[in-house]
Amino acid sequence: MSQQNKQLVFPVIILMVICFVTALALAFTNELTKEPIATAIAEQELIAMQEALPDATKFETVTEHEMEFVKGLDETDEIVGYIFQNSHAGYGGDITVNLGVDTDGIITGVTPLELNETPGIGMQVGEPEFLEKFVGKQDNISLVTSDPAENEIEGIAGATVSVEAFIKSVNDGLDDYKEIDLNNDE
Amino acid sequence: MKEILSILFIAILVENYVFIKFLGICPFLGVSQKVDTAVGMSAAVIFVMVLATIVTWPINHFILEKLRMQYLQTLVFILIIAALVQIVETFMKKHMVSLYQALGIYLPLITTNCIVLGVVVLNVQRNYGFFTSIINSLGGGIGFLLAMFMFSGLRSKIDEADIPEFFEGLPITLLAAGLTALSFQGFVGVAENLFK
Amino acid sequence: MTSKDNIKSKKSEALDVFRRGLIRENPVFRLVLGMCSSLAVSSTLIGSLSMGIAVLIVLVMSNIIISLLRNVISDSIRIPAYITVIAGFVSVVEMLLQAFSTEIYDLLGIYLPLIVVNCIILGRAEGFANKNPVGMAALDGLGMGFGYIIAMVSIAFIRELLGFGSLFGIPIIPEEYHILLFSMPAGGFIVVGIMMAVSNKIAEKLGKPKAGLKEDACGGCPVAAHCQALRSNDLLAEGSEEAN
Repeated sequence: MSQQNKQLVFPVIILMVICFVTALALAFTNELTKEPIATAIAEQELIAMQEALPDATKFETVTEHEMEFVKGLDETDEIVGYIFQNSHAGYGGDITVNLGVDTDGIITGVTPLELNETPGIGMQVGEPEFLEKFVGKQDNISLVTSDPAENEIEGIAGATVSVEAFIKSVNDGLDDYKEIDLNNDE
Repeated sequence: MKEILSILFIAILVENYVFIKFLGICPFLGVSQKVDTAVGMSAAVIFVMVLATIVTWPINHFILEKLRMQYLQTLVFILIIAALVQIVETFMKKHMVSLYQALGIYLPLITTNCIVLGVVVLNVQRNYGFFTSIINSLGGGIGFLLAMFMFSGLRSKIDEADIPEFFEGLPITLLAAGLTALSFQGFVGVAENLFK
Repeated sequence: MTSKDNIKSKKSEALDVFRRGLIRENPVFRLVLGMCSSLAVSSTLIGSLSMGIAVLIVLVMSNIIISLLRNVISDSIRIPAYITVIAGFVSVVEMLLQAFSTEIYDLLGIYLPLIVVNCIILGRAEGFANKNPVGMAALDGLGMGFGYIIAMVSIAFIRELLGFGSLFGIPIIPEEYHILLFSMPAGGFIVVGIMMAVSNKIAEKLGKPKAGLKEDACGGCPVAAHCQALRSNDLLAEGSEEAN
């Protein structure tokens, strides 16, 4: 009986040891790579922020008026604009957008952060041709199929859901700006 | 409701796991000759995909992510899937003999298959909630079924056709799969507008 | 004299173990393993090369470890044990890539963790590493790994050149001549299908069997027996000759 037990127990113990050692190795690697990964992610965020607010050289994350957002500063520590981050559900999960506005509320840039849409269709919302359309606009943006006016954006054929989610996030950001502006005037 | 339908539609057609995502190719190429085995295999795949999602999602959400041990995801997921299938197979053999005879033999093939691990990883990557993950996995499995079913019909036609010798077997199968994939590509534009 | 012969034959045996995986038993075109990833990331050369190197590293490392542990891992637990070791190395590669090259990490996407279930690695573990000493196992891993890279890069060469008109991202063919088909999933199937046909033709000329999901193929894939059982059930029922 004990021979049988041995045959059963021994392999399982070996397996558990292998699992344990593997998990340890992974934990070790995780420790090693935690910082570089965090740095890489921070760098990506910085690039995204820079694209949203090209005139700023420094970025400060603040929480004011019950909102968390980013203040963009130039070398003289003057505020050149703000960045607001909002998301809405697209197709492949949330679409998170960084909206950059200057101190007058005019859009300086938009950058998508999380984008998992359909390649070739919905993913086009991440491309420069689409993102440029937002620059220079202010006030709530609406979607049209052609001949965009002052505060309208022409959509992308076949990508309505992705585009709408993107625009909603942008509009949320614009609302955030209005909050700040209102509070600053007081 | 609309959201559920749209996720299903995308998982089954627009981002079909076989023809667009290239998951589950091995069983697809290997077991799609006869309609019976094709359907049996697909049923087993759907079953494992959904079951794996049900089990891995809570473990990921409540343990791995809470403890910030995401680096263990790959390891934990595949081990859970392997163990799960083993348990299910043993259980089926003893207590659900008829079901075992229909599905059971396919189960070992699915364990180490990219389609199961793939859908689990995908759900995590897209931050889907519990219910959404299950719908997505179900859709992926149904898409696999669709692919298998269509293809088993196609393959019997291929068998009857006159093919240059060095294309016989795998090459012509792959080419046929390619043409089928092309037709699925057409769904990509439909989805985004259908479920506004 | 005999010992010198021994050393010579050992060396040539070792060399053969390495060379096999490159062409003769190329994992993609001859053993038909790892189809999922070869179709998915082979649309660009950089993707193929990155995936290939990742697979090579995991394959060699897991072959080494499994070979070292081959006397300790008993039959009943071998599949979970292999999976654990392989998953471990894949996770390490994942973390390293995420830390040091976010671009490649994003490019490979979900296919990176899927290396765990890549039949090449599991197949070689089951079919070779658990029966051979470390040195041979490592060579086998190297050979199969490089064979995989060769296959992937050749597929990607065609797909990227014809589909995107570029090589490694460097534009070569002007946009009017891009054939979109090759960059799409459908193109992946078609290119691999054609290349496999070519490889079969060459094999036939050399008197070797065609690649297919037959008994000797699947290169030691642990579930090959199951696969075969299912397929022969089909054939017995149909009573006809397999098209393969």
